[in-house]
Amino acid sequence: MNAVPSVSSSWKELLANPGPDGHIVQLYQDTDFYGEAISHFAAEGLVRGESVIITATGLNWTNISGHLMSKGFIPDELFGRGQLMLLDAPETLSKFMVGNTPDVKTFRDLALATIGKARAGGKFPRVRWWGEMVNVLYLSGNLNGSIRLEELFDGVGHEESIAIFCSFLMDKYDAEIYDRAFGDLCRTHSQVIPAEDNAMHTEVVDRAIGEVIGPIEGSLLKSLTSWLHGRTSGMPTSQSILLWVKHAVPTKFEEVLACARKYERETLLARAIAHEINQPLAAMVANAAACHRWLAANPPNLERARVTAERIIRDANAASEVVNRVRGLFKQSSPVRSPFGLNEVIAEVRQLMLDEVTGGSVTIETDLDPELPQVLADRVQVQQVLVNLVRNGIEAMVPTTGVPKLLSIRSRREGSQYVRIEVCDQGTGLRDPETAFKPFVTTKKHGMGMGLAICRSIIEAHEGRLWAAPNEGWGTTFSFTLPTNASALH
Amino acid sequence: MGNDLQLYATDQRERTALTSADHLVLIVDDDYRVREALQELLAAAGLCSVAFGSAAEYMANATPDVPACLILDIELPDINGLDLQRQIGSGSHLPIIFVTGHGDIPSSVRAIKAGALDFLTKPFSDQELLKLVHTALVQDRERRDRQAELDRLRQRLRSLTPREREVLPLVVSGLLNKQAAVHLGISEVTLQIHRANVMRKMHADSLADLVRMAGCLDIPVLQSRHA
Repeated sequence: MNAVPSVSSSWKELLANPGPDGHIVQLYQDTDFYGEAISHFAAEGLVRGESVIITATGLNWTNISGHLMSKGFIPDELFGRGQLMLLDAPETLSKFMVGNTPDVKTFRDLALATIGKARAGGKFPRVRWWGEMVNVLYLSGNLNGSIRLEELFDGVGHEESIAIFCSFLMDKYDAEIYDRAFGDLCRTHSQVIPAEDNAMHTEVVDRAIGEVIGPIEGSLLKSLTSWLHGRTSGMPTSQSILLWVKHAVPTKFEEVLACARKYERETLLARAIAHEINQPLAAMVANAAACHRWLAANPPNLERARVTAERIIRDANAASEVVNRVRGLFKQSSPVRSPFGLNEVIAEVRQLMLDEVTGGSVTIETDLDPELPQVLADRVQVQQVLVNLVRNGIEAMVPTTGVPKLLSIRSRREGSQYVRIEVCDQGTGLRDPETAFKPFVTTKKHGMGMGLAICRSIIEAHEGRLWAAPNEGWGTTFSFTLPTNASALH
Repeated sequence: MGNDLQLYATDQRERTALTSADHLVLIVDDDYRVREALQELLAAAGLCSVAFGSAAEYMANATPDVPACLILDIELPDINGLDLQRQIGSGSHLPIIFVTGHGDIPSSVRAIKAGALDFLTKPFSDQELLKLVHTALVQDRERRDRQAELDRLRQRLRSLTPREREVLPLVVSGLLNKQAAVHLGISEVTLQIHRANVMRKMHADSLADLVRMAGCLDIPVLQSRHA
């Protein structure tokens, strides 16, 4: 175990040659980067004639095997040859976890047996292992168990001289990871691959430091970090800058983080809006060019010209609608907050949407807490959010057959300070609910695309949260929280 | 191809033209307005197109057996353009024109540039798009011609007897008949007969022609396999 992990200048190179007992950790936030890194680690091992062990959840294995196949590897063949071994992460975990802690002996026996099997009687002397059991524990909130398992893995890795690679999902804006997880992970690994340092994160962290710590110290800090950047090949990323702030200017840390998050939200929103306007604009430009060509043809094709002109009018109206909505969103620099009851808004939205789905087979049921405390929020904006979620839910159920098209809206208290609203559909469901909040993402044929990104931005501006989770069985539940009027007054 | 394709054809005459078309532009974009407008523009420019609303829909259909190119939106709901390119890349060599709905191109996307013909940012000009489409179709036509030529040559190569296949590399390496005959341990007359058969079966007009074909077929020169 190394006290000070080094940071590789090139993660590709590091993962290709991890060394005989390298223990590498990747922090990721983007599933693309994650899949790419793991398949690279596996592929490089395979071409070197090493045996590769993968401990994954079913969902992630789909992601990884897709990446492997695109690199020209056929997992089934490799399984047959004994050069690739796949273990189910939750199932393997259940074999050696006792409560929240891994049982040392059971784990060691299992790990040594697995490595022995991978070596296939000396056919593959070198073994590399990627696993997400630690990440599964970490994501379930069991940080201690996860770190303990890392330590055990580290021991087995050294003993057996195998390379180990782990991946951890990190929210770059979560203050806690800069406190505990980050340090613990550095301690239990020999190398760290920092989460993808996208240009946006660097930019918003820079701006946040400039604003919170001040222009002079801020620019001093920036020059210091750029100096570090030159000296430590690959470091620091925007996250390590934040880590540095955490230790050097702890009093300002939370504020920097919050400020950076706010800037990122704004940037994403601006992009989402640009995207929404660009879509109809692109269609209009292409239709106008087509119309021009139909008219210039000899003889002119007036029928096609008329159709394209009509589409231009339709798309121009759509673009103007986007502009109106955006204007509505930014009309007040801060939302106009007043106390109101959410149950009332839910009833209004339900009526509104029932009118919209005339003749449809959709049922909207409500399950409201009669004692629901009032919230302090911008009523119009919250209503827009609710309309959006309900409309999404209804549209998600359009293609389903054989399942009742039932949408339910629930209101509940969430602790003493929040209320929670859930919109639950029986629709086609989302493969990865979190991506639905990314701007540009829509599964709808006639989608607005920015709907959920804006909804989240509205709810977060009210100090609430908005998220989605798949239902057991069919469909998705979108939930949001808002602070109660009473808690907001304190 | 599947029946659910939105083949752009407004009347029977155009539909007939489409099925016998000598080219096809494939479009993958999740926004129906953009698909519709792109197809209209291509039709007005005399180009045939097929549009798909998702990567899955695209992947479920066979690539047409005519010179083609792909206009691909990089922000698809079910897969990102990079992954789709990777998947397509393993099966075909279709030239791809990427389009993106937002101005700043993320760095991950720049990586695609290597394999893509070009990027267009929505909204794009019709001249720009049509120029790229023409370039792509020409590129694909040339690639297909080269491929067809190679297939023909391979076919001819397969018609050679094992002995003739031994003679071919020696001849194209510039060995004299006498040297080649010694090399194979046969008489010069026999070698000349084999050589004439090789020239005939490969449809080679001259030795230079045969050397060019050998180059296309990656036949090693300078020494025989037994050397």
